[in-house]
Amino acid sequence: MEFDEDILQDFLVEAKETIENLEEGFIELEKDKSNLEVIRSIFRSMHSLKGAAGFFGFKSLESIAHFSEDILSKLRDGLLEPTEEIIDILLKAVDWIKYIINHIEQNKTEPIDDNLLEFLVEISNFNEKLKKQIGGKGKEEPKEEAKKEKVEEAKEEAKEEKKEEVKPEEKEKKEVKEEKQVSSKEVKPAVKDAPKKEKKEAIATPHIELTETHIKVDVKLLDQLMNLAGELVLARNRVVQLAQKIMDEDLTRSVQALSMITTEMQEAIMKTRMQPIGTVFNKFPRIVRDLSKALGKKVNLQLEGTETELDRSIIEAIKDPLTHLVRNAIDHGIEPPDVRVQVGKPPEGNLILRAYQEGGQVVIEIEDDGKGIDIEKIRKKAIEKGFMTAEEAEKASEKELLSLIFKPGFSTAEKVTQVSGRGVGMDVVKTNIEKLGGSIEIDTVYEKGTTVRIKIPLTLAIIPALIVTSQDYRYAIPQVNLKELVNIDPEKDLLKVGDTEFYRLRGEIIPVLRLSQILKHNGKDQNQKNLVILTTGERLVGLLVSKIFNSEEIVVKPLGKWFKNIPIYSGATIMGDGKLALILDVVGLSKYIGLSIEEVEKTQDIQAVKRKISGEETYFILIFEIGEERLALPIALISRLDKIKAEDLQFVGGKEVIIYNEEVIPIIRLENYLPLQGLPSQEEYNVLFFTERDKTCGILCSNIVDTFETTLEVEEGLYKHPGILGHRIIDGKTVLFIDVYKIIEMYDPEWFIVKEEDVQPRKILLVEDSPFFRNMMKNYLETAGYQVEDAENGKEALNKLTTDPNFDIIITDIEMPEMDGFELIKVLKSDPNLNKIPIIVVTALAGEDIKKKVFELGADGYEVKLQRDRVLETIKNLLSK
Amino acid sequence: MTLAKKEDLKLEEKEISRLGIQKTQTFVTFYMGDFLFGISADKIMEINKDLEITPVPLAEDYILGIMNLRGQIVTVMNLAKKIKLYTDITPKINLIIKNEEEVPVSFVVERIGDILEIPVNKLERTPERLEGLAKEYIKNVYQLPDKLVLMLDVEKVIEG
Repeated sequence: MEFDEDILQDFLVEAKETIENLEEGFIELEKDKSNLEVIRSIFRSMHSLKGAAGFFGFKSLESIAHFSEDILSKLRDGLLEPTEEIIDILLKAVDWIKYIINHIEQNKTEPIDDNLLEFLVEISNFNEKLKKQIGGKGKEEPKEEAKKEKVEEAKEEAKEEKKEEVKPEEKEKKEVKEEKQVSSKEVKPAVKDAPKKEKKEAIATPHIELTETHIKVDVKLLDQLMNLAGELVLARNRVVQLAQKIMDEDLTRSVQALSMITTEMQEAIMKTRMQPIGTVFNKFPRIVRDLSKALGKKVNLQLEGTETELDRSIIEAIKDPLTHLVRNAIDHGIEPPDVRVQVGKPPEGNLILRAYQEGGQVVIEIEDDGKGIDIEKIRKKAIEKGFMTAEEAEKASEKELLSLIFKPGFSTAEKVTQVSGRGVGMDVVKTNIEKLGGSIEIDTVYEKGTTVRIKIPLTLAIIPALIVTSQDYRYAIPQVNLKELVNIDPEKDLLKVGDTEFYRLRGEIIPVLRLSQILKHNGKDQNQKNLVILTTGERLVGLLVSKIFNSEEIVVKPLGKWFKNIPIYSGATIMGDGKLALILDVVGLSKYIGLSIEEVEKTQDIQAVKRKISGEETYFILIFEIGEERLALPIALISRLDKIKAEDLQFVGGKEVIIYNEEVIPIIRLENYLPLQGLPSQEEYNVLFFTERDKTCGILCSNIVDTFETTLEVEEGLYKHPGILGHRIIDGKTVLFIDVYKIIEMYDPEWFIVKEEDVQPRKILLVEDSPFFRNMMKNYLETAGYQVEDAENGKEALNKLTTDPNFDIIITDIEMPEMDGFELIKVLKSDPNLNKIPIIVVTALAGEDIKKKVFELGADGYEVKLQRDRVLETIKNLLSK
Repeated sequence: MTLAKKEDLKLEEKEISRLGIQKTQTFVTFYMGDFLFGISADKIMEINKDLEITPVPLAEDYILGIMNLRGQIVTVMNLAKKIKLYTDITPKINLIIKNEEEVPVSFVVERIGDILEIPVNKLERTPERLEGLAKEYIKNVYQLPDKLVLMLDVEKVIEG
């Protein structure tokens, strides 16, 4: 028989406890035979054991417990005196129970043992005998009550006897008969029975010492241990610091030992507080069953990763949010069976609760294959409820709209049902998760289903953290938020545009915050050279700090209520020297950039764009001026931004160049290649630098206007000119989005040519919905010598492939209307004619999970947009295979 | 245990009233500028000098920061600022206040005064005319021969 391992474990732990209780009880009973309390307690223990054994189908265990219970019930009701004989057989029963439990623990099944069967017969007969005895007594003392009970008992017995499989052997029957005769005559059966008892003992009762593998501990004690472990860690940190000062070899060695033991002990104590998430998950089958019944739906619940462990305080805290999400999934997600059949799904909906560990975090997913979330409905609702204006809603991305679900007062359920929508909304779920230092996100595909993903830390109490300083005070940054450390020269390496600074990390543009500025420390800290790259889970943020110290285990202590409304702290900790350090909340910190981006956007008057493309992908773009005309391009393409003096421009060999960082950099004037008015003479110019394969060139412009985070939606057609990807009206002015690669190529057709290429042109199918990227990529692919066909979405790509399947490689985006990249890969890889063509996914959706998914689907490459070099590299590699 | 204690206390109270002894309350007094304040002694966890305060940037101006009190993190409040007592004072003593459900809080004050045993019925209402500080933080007053003791409404001050 197959059981959930956890449940069986629980049963075994409980059974062992029960056995202990029983043994103690019997000893107690021998001392004081009239102690009814003890008998009742033993009876209850035996009763629950019987129940549990029955549940698992452990027949012999159930039978032994049953007979024992039966005998005990007679003692309890005062029908029998607890004679030594009775206690003996009951103790034997306990021995056998121990034996069985032990066997189950080792083999997961009951033992098959002749002696055990024999004992079953013995106890059955003994019980029978006792019944007769009571019968005899009953005649002597014709009490009404006793009679009634006796009758009832007899009835029960009769029923149970029918069920009972154990049949006494012939020989035994005779014995029983003898015994019956004896006992009916005898007043004190114990004496007469003694020799017989001895005889039997010779055969039976195994003596099993159960090894205790589990004990119950008061939760408070665990909490106290945890606190002490925290204190110990602090004390240890302090000793470590002192030892470093003293520099004594022996001391250092013993401190090292102390340190290691402390860490190990702390980990062990933390483990005592860990509980499998199954303790929460396991209550869902019932909830799901009841709920789906009430709503007339069919739901198949699957639990995965129930053994994933979390700190018990977190387990407690996620119960309610999870329940809410499960209710939501059934109420709003999974459709009624008839609807499901209509749309071609199986009538039974699938709901998966999945938990797994990822780094220092636990991820919990609630996945359903229901109807998904209708983004258009949210859009409508957002306008109706005044969360967004019509224009805002029109241009809002799917992600932005989905995030509305977590806003208070926003519910998409058309009517408030009894199940969900009772005041506790997704906003509360989000707040509760965030309180735990976790995050929540929704993935949804309309008509296909929804996945809610919760990420929470393993434990709250002791965390590894990086210690940094600002103005001599120390701050702790939780290691889970830490990506990497970079040493920079802020003057040179940061791009400052408007009020926001950026750092370019391997092609990705990261907004940078200065810790001293956020903390409003007076006076600019000149020494901030350490850039800590942090992740909020959604985006990267750079934090410029004065100094970086070691990573330490810190004990998180809460701050008082006076600090609740300061978003940048999540607590405080005591350092090794007894001083305090505030713990920085990375999500809270990132709000400081969020603000400035929003502010920038507020001033923008972005007109509705004609083309509807997926709004998921946003980039920081840089807007600059050449004379009066405004141009824009993604910041990630620029390697550096600087000002130069007019006199630094020089003509060498017919080319305009500047000497910058001891390098001769050719200068490109855009008006030579684009239909622009021209760059008026200025004393100082701004230069945008581009570096590609160690070659750098600069574009001259009059003025940098601003940056902002936006999608790269552009209108095409009006400015049909090589080097211009499209235009858009921003802030009331027309801004031209330029194609830097094309312009550089116009400036020097050989710039990108790498000599060595093969002659035969290869054919690429480029699937990309954004005209900006489509044109730009097509351009540079063609420059690199490929023949490129393009398609705006998966469907169009498939059409092109059916008319002409002769492509050497397919490059696709993920987020696209009609048919997205995931779907396209699926279709392509299942088509025997097309599955040989390598596929490269080029997406803005950076992230390990996306990467994993596309490779699982069968893609051959994965690159992030705007990394021209790497895309070309991957194409080359795949084609040479 | 706690139950037993309460009963003992009740007994004591009974005893006191039977004996006709006046019920008194112990107050710790302290100075800030020219003002003399009092806080019921049972609200005070301890009095401490010169504990190192770690500032918490962005906090309200009456919050001086946090400090480490034997492994506990205590919020340090500039009491004068909180009760809008704008005289020039140099706070240097920590009065650490018990705070049942929250982390403890410390009031930094200038100088500790006497410990006073005051009959409860001698506490008077705060006079209408009380200038130089925010009156709502004063619960009641007690008249010493030469000085008025302002009894601080601790709950109100630490309300947040």
